[in-house]
Amino acid sequence: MMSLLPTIALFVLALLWFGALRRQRKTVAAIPLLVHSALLVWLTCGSGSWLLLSTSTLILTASWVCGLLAVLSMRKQWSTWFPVAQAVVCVLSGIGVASAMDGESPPINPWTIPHVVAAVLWFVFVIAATGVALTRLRGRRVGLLLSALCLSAFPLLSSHGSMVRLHQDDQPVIAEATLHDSDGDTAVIRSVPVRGAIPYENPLRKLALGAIVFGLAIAFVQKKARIETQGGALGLVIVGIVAIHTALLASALFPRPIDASHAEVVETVRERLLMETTTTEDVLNVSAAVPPYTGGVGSYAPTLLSVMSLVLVFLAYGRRDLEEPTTKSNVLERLEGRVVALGVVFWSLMVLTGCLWSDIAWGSFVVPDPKVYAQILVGGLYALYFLVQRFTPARVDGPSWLLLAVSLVVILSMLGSQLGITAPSLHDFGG
Amino acid sequence: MTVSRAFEALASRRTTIGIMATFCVLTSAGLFVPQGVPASTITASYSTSLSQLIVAMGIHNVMSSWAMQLLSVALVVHLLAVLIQGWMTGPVERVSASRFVWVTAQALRSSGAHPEAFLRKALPDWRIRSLGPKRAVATRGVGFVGFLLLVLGFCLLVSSWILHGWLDTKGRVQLVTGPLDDSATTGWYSAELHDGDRYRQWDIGFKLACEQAVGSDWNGTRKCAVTREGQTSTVDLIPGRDLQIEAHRLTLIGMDRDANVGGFEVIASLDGVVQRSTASIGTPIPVISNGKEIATLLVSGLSAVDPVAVVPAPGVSRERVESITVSVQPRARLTFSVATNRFHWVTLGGGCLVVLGLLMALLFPGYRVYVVGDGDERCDVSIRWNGGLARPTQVLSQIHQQLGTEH
Repeated sequence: MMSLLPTIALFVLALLWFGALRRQRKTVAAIPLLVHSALLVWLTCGSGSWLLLSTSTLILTASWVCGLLAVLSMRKQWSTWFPVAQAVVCVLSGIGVASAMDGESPPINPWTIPHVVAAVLWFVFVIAATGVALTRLRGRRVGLLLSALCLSAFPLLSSHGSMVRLHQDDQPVIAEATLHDSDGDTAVIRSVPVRGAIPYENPLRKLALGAIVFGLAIAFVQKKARIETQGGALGLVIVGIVAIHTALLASALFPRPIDASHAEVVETVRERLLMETTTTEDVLNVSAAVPPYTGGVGSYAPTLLSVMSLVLVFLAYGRRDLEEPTTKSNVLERLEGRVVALGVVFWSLMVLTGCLWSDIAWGSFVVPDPKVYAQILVGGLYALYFLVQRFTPARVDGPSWLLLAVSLVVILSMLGSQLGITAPSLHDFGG
Repeated sequence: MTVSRAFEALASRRTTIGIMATFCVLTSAGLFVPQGVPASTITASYSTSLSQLIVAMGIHNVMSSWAMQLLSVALVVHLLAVLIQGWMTGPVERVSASRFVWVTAQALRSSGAHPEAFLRKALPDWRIRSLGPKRAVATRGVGFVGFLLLVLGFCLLVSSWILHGWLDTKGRVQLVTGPLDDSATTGWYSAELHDGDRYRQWDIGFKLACEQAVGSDWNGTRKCAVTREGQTSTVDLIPGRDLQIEAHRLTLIGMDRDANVGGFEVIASLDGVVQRSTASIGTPIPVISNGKEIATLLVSGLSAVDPVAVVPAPGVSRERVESITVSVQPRARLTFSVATNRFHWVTLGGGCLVVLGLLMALLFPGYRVYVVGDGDERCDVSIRWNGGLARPTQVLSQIHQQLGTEH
C-alpha cells in the first residue's frame, strides 16, 4: 500500500490541475481517472524497469512545464492536450515508482522522483521569478551593487573558496598528510586532494570588489542627493573589471597550467587539515607531502557567483524607467505574482516530499541541515513577499527585492558547502 | 489613547511583516552555524567572543533558542490582537487590505436599489447573501477554505513535532558485526537512551547482531538476528533502508572499523554449505565437511590478491580444496539511531493539508464583495480577496460591465 502513495499523490495533483485548467472539460478530466484505476489494479501484480522510471521522470517534467505555461496564459492552446499528457504521466510515474519499490529493481527511496521533480520545477520558477524581479529592479543601483558585492565577497570567507584542484596527467593530485598527536606520534595519515590559487585571481577579485564598493559609494551619495544619472563611463569600467574577473574564473573550469608556489600549496593543505581536525581529533601538527603537479581545474561555484555578480552590476547601470507605472510594468508585476504563486506550490511540494524522503533516508522528517534551514528561510521570504505585496503597495520594489533574496539563499544553500561558507551539509550538489 | 495606539500598532500589518522578517533573520543563522551540536564544538570552532555570542543566543539550536521562543509569543499576541481588532470592527470597515479597490469602487456608488438587488444585477453568477436591510455580500471561490486548510495543516505539523519531542524516545544502538554467539559481538553491543545532551544505558528490550550476507560487499546487505524474550528472528539490513523492530525504528548512521576490536568475518562455503566464523590475522579456522576437516584457513590481511591462505588437511585432494570459496571482510562497528514516532501519520496528514491548502489558496482564489447602502438610495462596494492568483480589479471590471458604467 505504501508504494501507491506517490502515485496517489501525483494523481491528486493532476486532478487539481485539471480543476485549475479545464473546469468545463469533464470528459477529458475523466481520462486519467479511468487510466489510473486500471493502473491501480495492474500495480497489484505489477513490475517495471529503470528505463520506464527515467522516461516517466522526463515526461513528468515536460508535462508540468507545459501545464504551467498554460496556466501562465502564455500558450493557451497547450492546455488542450495537457490533460491527456498528464494522464500519460500519471500512468508512467506510477508504474515507475511502484516498480522501483516492489519490483526487482535496486531499492530506492520512493520519494526520490517526486522530490527531484518538484525541486527542479521549483528551481525553474525561482530562476523565472529572479529574471522578472531583476527586470523590474533594473537601474536600482544601490541595492543591486550591494547584492553584487555580497556575491563577489562570499568566496573570500573561505580559505579554499576560489581555488582550483591541481592535476597531473589528467589525474587529481593527492597529498599524503600525516597528523601528529600531542605526544608527537603519528595519529592518522590522510589523503587529501590538493588545491592551489589561480594566478592573479586574488588581486583581481579585490580590484573588482574595490570597483563595486566605489560605484556603491557614488550611487549612495547620488541617491541621497536625489540625482538620477545614467551609467556612463564609470559603469562601463566597473562592469569591465568584474567581467575580466569572471572570465578568469571561467577559464579555470577547463584544465590549464598552474604555476602556483609549491610551498604555498603545502601550507594550504596543512591549514585546511588543521582547521578540519581541530574539533574532532587531538592534533598537534600536520606534515603534508605534495607531489609535483602540472595544472588545475576550478569549481563552477565561484564562477557562477561571479557571473551573477556581473549580471547584477550590469543591471545596476542599466536604464531605469523614471516615468509613472506603465502597461509594461503592470504586466511584469502580474507575471511576477503568477510565477511566485506557482513557485510556492512547487516549493511546498518539494518540502513535503523532501520531508518524506528524509524520514526514510535519515530517520527523521526534519534534520538539522543547512539546506533545510535554507528552505525554512525561503518559506519565510515567500510569506514576506505576499505580505509586502498586499499590505504595503507603496513599496513597489519591495517584493522584487525579496525574490532576489530568495535566489541568493538558494545559491548559498547549493554552493555554500562547496565554498566552505555554510555549515557542513548532508546534501551534495557536486562542484 | 496610548493604549489604543499601542493596540493598533500591535494589530497592524507592519507588525506581521516585522515578525516575519525577524523570523527570517533568525533562521538564516541555521545556514552558517552548525545546528544541534554541543556547545563545546561551537567553542572549539569559533573565536572566543563569537562562540560566547552563539552559545548565549542559542544560535547553535536556533529553532529552540530563547529568541525564537520570544518571537513565537510575539506572534501569538499579534494574532490575538488581529482577531480582536477584526471582531471589534464590522466586515465592511475591515477593508484596509483592499484599500485601492475600495477607493476605485467609490465610482460605483450607483443609485438605486437594495444592496442585495444591486449584487444580483452586478454579479449574477455569484453566491449572494443578505446581511441585513442595508448590507449584502456576494462570494465566489474557495480561497478562504485553502487558508483554513493551511492553518489546520500547520497546527497538525507543529503539534505532531511537539508530541514527538515530548512522548517519543530517541537513542542509539552500537554493535560490532559478527555472529550472535561471538563474545566480541555480545560484549560490544550497547543501547543508549538520549537524555538531554547525554546518552545513558537503555534496556531497549531486544538484542541485535548483524553479519555480512553471503556474496555481499563490506558495506552491502547484512543479515541481522533480533533476539527478544529468548526468541530470535532474522531480518535483512539493506543499505538505505531502516529496520523496524517493534515500535523502534533503527537507521544506520555510522559504519566504521573499530581498531580496538579488529578481526574479520570469514565465510567459507563448500558443497553449498556455508560456514561462518570470526578471526584475527593468523587465527586458524578449520573448514569441516561431513564431520571431516578439509582444510584450514589463515587470514593474512586484506590484500585483494590473497586475503586468505587455504592449507589443505592431510589426504585431501587439491580439487576438493579448490572447491572451497572463501570471503573475508573486516568486522565493522555499526551505529544505529533508534527512534519511535507514534505521530508519523499526524505529521503526514499535516503536510498533505498544508500542500492542499497552498494549492487551493493560490490556484483557486476566493472573493467577497460587500455592498452597503448608505440610506440615500446609493451603495458602497468593497472587495476582499484571498489567494495569490486573485485579481480583484477583474471583479471590479465585471461589476462595471454588468452595470454598464465607465471604469
